[in-house]
Amino acid sequence: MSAPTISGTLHERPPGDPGRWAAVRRQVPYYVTVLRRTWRGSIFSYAILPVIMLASFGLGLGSFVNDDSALGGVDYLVFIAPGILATSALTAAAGEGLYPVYAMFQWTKMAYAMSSTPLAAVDVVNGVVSYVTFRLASATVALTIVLAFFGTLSSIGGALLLVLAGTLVGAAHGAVFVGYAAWTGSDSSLTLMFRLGVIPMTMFSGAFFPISQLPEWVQVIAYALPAWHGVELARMCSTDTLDAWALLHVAYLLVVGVVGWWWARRAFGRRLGVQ
Amino acid sequence: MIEAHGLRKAYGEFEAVKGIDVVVEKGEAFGFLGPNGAGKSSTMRMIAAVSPTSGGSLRILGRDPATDGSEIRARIGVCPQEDSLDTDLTVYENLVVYTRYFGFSRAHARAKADELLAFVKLTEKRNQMVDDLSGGMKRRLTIARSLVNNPEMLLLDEPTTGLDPQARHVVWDQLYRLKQTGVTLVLTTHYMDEAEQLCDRLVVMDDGRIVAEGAPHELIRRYSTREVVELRMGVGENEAAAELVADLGERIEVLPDRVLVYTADGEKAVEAAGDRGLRPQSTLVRRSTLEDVFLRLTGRALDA
Repeated sequence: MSAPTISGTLHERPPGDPGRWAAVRRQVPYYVTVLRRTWRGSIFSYAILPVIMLASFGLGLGSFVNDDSALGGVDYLVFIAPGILATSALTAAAGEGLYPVYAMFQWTKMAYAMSSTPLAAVDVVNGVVSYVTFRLASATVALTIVLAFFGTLSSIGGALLLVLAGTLVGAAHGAVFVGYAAWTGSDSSLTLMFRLGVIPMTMFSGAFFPISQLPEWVQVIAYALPAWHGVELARMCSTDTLDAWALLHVAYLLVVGVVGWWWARRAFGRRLGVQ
Repeated sequence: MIEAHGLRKAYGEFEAVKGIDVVVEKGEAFGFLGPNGAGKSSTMRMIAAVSPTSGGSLRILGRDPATDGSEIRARIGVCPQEDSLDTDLTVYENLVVYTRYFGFSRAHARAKADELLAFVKLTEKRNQMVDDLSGGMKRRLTIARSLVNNPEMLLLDEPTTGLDPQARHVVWDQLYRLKQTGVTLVLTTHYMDEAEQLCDRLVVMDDGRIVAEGAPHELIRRYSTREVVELRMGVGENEAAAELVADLGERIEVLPDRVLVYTADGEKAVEAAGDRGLRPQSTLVRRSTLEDVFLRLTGRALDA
């Protein structure tokens, strides 16, 4: 076969530095291709576990909860539903942010291939974080539909805000997980993050019982965890009890997200050698 | 295409590249030859504008990689040592999404992907998942991917390491055809046959420094004799044999498994050794290669 690489219009030179927005747009075809392959399976897996949790904890365990004074006078099912949504977003963020990003550096080495293009490290980070945010947004939509099905939402407006809140919880944690996965050099530390990070945060996030039930010194730790702010925010949305404290929760989660993004940027830059 | 002076790269205390001067002209096939750890890959990463320099000056395509990294990367192709393909995607999709990173339109990316698949003879594998490809096919796909932007210069880090002989020849053939179209090739290798096959000019690197520079045949002429006699002796007999034949060549090298005699006339040296009563287990007369150049310059075998 003759050498066909040089042929008419296909021999164009590409444009140079695309700028940060265009650089993210250039990655859209990649993530759309990946999504087309995976969306069915992931939506199912995001929705099925919360259904089981709502049925077992909410309906099963909830029937033993007679004293609802600490729950603010709502049903146990109504109490834990937003908690399950927020902590499911947290778990999904770990699933989206940890292994895929670790693989980009350690297994497929794809991140290095991406950095051999005009894309800079910050562009690759922005692409990953945008994709994780999109995945978390769709997971939250699925979760919100599940919550509606269990009759645990107070209003349509609240439901829409709940989608935003769940996405924020997921994206903020997701950015931190992306940073952690790029920073760490061993896959056992990913498992460690699940065991010592994700699961304890889920347990002490106030999703399943009010933090006020805990010893005071544990409460202090729980309040500092972004997961608690996420659960509180989600609960305000699902039960239509939004007040000024919601702003604090939103601000706190935004700060966590920005810190995670900044960490990811540093870690990607260090590994890829390009800022 | 490349102009480096006193180029250095340090990782903390460790200095991987200790001040090298390299100039690569347009259309050349240029090689960095050296053992693992010689600083070849560190040099390549700096040239690829993905690793800041620690000292010296470096211009790629006339530009400064510290400030114009993105523009430089838009105009060069990089074929890394590890294939770094996306295993979640098909062969075709790998090329299309990669082309889009360079800012090309969807129609352009699709046409380019098919063109390149034909070039590396993977059209039949177009819709297969990457994991189903053999090592040689993955390598060819990685080379195809490095060409999506019609690079003016192609950087190849150990392009045929880990491939079987047949697959290596296919890759060499494709690189040779690329060179004929005017693409500047810059490659690292620790195979001297690869360097001899592909490179117009090369530098021999050892311990972060350049120890020799020139065309392969020039280097061989300069640093070695026309022929080499390899004498395989029994275990522990090398030193004694070396003493016996010491004056039969211009130079003698004693390796763990054989003695090398460097001489213009190999057959004559073999005969003379036989006359002196030397009975090696096997004898081989061959032409000098870059391996011998490397041995001469560093006192070590390339693959040791």
